[in-house]
Amino acid sequence: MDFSKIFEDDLPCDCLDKCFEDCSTVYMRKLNRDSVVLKDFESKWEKNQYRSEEERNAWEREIRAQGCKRICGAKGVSVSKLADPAHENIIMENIREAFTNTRRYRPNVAFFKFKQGDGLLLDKPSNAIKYHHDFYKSDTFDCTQLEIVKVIPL
Amino acid sequence: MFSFDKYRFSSSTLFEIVGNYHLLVADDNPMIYHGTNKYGASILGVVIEDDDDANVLYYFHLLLTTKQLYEYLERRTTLYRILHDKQTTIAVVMKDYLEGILEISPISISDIPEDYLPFENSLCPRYTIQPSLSFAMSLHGNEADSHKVDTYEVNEVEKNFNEGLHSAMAPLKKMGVIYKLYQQPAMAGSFRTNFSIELNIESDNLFPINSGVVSEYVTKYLSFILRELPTAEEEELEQKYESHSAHVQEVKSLIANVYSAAESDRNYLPSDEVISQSIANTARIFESVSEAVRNSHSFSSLEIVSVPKENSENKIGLIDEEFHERLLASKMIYTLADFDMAISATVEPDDTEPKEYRIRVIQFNTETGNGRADLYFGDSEDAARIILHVRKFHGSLDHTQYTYSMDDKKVITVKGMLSRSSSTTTLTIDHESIL
Repeated sequence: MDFSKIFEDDLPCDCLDKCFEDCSTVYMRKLNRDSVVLKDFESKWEKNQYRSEEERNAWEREIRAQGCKRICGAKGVSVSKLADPAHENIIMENIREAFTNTRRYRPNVAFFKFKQGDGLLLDKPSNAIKYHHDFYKSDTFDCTQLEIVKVIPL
Repeated sequence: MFSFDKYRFSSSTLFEIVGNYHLLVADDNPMIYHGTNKYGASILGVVIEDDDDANVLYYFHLLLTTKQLYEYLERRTTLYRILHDKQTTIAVVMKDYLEGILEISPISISDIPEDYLPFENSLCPRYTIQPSLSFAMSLHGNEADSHKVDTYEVNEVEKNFNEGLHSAMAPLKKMGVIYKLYQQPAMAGSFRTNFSIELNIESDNLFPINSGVVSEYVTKYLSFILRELPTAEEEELEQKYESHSAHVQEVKSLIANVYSAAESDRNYLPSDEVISQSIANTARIFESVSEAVRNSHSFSSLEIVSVPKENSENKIGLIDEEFHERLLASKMIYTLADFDMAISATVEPDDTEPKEYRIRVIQFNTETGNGRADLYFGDSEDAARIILHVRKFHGSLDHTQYTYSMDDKKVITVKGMLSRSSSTTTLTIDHESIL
């Protein structure tokens, strides 16, 4: 797999260290629509490209100054791993609790599997989300080719 | 997005968070967060919509009183109700994906279409308070807002808060964990005092201590006392009251973590009853803090935060006059274990004829005669929370000794019969039999 977008910009970080490929487990991500589109898999680093040049450069300087952990975090896309069907209930309960407050924000949840060559994953649990992973897209990743298990409205 | 552009600003100091930013819920983007504006007022931010065609996010920024914010954080009110509260000032804030503010538009609740409002059951999602061994208390309201407080009053709450932290550490201390509690100088220009627990990690302890698990224990313990017990529903309290309750077990498992992290012999673990007793002791100390706040003229509330790292704080609780009432209305401060210990030494389990008892009525329904009271043992100040049932023969129980006791917080002497079941104790009084 090639990751030219992850390694562009002369970054001094090996973001793919400890990453793995996983095409058998179901992952999930919240969506704006009832189908997956390119924008659903944009990283913060990519979203920064929508800003003015001045803002874009200022943000990048700030992130670079914070080191590799922050840089790699901004290059990845958050997904939750559903290794055990019991996890789905826990994750969905958390999502639904927040959704009562934010009913128009990303009101769909996609459950999907990655295909070989899509990219690599990094286990990155947080206090709030135990099953959180960062997904690093390969150059050939195409979100329309994901194996969609289901998309459910909240 | 709905039309909200009556008054657009590229910047409005009123609705911009400049300090104490704390993220509660996030996915790729912050979803729910709070902080303070440049005037120190609380702002709650909640995401409305992700417009990925325009590459912008919309948020509500609500300007709230500290009390409103705590009511939301402690799940005593919903976002829906806060938005409809006349005290709330609302703005729609348009941001880019990297949290840069693009526009701020103050709006009124009537400008927001129904389908952009949160649901009526929009309680604050449960979130994690970061573990810490550093805490701070700040005084708010009355003279404290004009940067002066009565020395005696501030000493009183500091002393009690200090005692509350010692009490939280007591179960660990009994097991041999050695620590020191430090009070640090108040920050200039505010009534904030910092406290830090420093563990003696070296040779004096019976076993090696992991400060991470101790901070997790003490933060969750304080959060349990200050946030969850006083706001629990009646049914939950029935469960929390019991020594085998889920919460006692949670505290026990946090203590167990301290030992397992140290690879210590877990036979030292305190019993459920000891933990239940410890929770009751800490709750009583915070009752004294709330009493001191209630009696103070120079401040009206006390805010407690944990300080996991510099310039970062997590709100744990706000002790104001209402906190005191909520604490009293719950049975948390007197556990079953307390009651069993005290009552077995003083009275027979069931009365066969009316006897004199000293009670203070806490809650009372003048129509049904049902309520709750604190029963004092003999002449002592020790008491247990019991169910009160006053049998009346006609009319209401308005303007009686029971309402007087409740309203004026006075102890009265009554004659009644005490009966006990496995989990409750009831004092039944025939009205007219007050001494």
